[in-house]
Amino acid sequence: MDRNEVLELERTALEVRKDVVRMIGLSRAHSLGSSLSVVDILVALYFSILSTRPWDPKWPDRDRFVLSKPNACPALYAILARKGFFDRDELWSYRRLGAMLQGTLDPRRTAGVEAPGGGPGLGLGIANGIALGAAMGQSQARVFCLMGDGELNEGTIWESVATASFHRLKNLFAVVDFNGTRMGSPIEGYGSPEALGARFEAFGWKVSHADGHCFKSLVSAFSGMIDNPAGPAVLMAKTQWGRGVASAESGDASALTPPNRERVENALLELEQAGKSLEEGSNDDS
Amino acid sequence: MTPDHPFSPIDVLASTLGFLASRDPAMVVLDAEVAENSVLGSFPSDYPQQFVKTGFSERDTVLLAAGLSLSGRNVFVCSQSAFLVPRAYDAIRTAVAIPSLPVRFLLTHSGLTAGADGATLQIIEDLAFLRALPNVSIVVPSDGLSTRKLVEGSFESKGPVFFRLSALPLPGLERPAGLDFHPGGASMLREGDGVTICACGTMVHEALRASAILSQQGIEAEVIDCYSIKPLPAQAITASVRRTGCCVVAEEHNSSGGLGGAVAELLCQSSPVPIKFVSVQDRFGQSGGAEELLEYYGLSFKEILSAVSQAWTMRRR
Repeated sequence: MDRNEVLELERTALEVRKDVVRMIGLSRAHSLGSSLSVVDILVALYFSILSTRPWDPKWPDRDRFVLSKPNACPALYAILARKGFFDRDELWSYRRLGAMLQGTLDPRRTAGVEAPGGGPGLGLGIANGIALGAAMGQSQARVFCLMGDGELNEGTIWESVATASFHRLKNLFAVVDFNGTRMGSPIEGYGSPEALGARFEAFGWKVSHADGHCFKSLVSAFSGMIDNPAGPAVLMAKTQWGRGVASAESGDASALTPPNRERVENALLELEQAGKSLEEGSNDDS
Repeated sequence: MTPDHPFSPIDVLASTLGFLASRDPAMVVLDAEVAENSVLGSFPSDYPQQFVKTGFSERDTVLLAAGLSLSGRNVFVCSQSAFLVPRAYDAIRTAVAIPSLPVRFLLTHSGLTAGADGATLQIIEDLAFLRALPNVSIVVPSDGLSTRKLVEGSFESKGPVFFRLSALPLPGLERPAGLDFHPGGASMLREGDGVTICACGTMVHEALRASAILSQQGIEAEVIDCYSIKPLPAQAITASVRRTGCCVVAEEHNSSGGLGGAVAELLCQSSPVPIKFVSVQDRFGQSGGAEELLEYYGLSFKEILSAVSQAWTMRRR
């Protein structure tokens, strides 16, 4: 991909991060760190890989995205709004009574949301079912599932890992957001992304790796998976909890509590500053 | 009308699913290891494209079912109730009941009559688990005909439907002609003004046996096959107890959370009358033959007779 394409994705990711910070500030949620760590993966998918029609959200051959990681709803919602699945103003009532954007994903309420969510460890199994159903119906749809590294503790995920491989699901592509953090604390026991990937390999999955904050790396890894479908494939995306907002990146206790107005303000200033640097950098190059 | 279906609930599953599969290529059956018990007959070989064996992975089976349903397949899940309901409850709740997906669950080998394998395999509390879920329908058929009609009817359902099925051979019941079966429905098997007996599944047969003896004693029992546990056939039950003034509920389930609880919740609000319950008295099962177990745990026509005489003496006049 050329520099302009990368630049465009980086601009989009900054805008998405700002919306995520605003949503979390308004809703007093505590999922800032988890949401920020997946933004670049989601931007790469939705703006470069997935084939969707926001004006026709139930188009039968659309690619499906299943968000398994429970704490990253705000990032998905901000992206769906930016894609045009629903009005951006819906973001500001996230988690409120009667809101279209529930604290847990609800495909009946929200256009663009493909599967229910909320509990850790359930998304991959549902993604398997969608992928198997698409294959049975001769659909060309591809199914992507984003899991958090924290939820990989759940035994059910490993049942689903085995199922995907048993059915040789060539239209199933998983991503692990490897931020090494569960609810703000370091995860122990996985070792490196390579060591975790080896577990998937042992189940017969094809494993690839990427820098989860580098669009070149992400898009080329996704393209590599899609171009040679050979059964289920997983991308281990190395990410940073709270990426893009210094106070969230630090991973200290304050990053888990809902941000107050001052922290929201600082985070937005920081992201705006990053935007200016991005534009200056691009001008220097040209 | 003489029963044209002298078959047990479990005997008609394979042919009913085969009929549905032949009509709808989008229909899929997931099997969490019940095919070995010949519950599905020749379905796996007759419809290999519409059959997925999932093995002992109950939660993952339910998630797979949810995903297949989201991608437009018409899904049936077959599993032993004792494994599926408690193990996959989280997946049933999150992935099927909350989004209200039309997945149908055929829960086999439920109740004490699951057989000699003992308490672990004899689930007597599955209705309690399932009844507590919003958005779902639960039916407990008592013979082949009602099973066939309810399974076929569930094809049109917009939400999840659970079938609680006994492994016990149950003969076809004589029913009024042209009877319609649907969630929320009930079938009146015998009319009477002495006592209302609400029963489901295996216990419908015991209730009919008891009613013949009661008739000789001068009490005409009204026997309602309450095959729909949720939604409960509220109107049929309240209309009946207004005539009879007392009620007995019989079920092959624990004393809490099943049909008895559902009927009591209904009647204490709308038409309070004395109610007696014939059910497992809050204890787990054990190994034994099906008939032996029903007798040992007090689930026979004899206990229904005794419950009726108690309820009848206290009836509202």
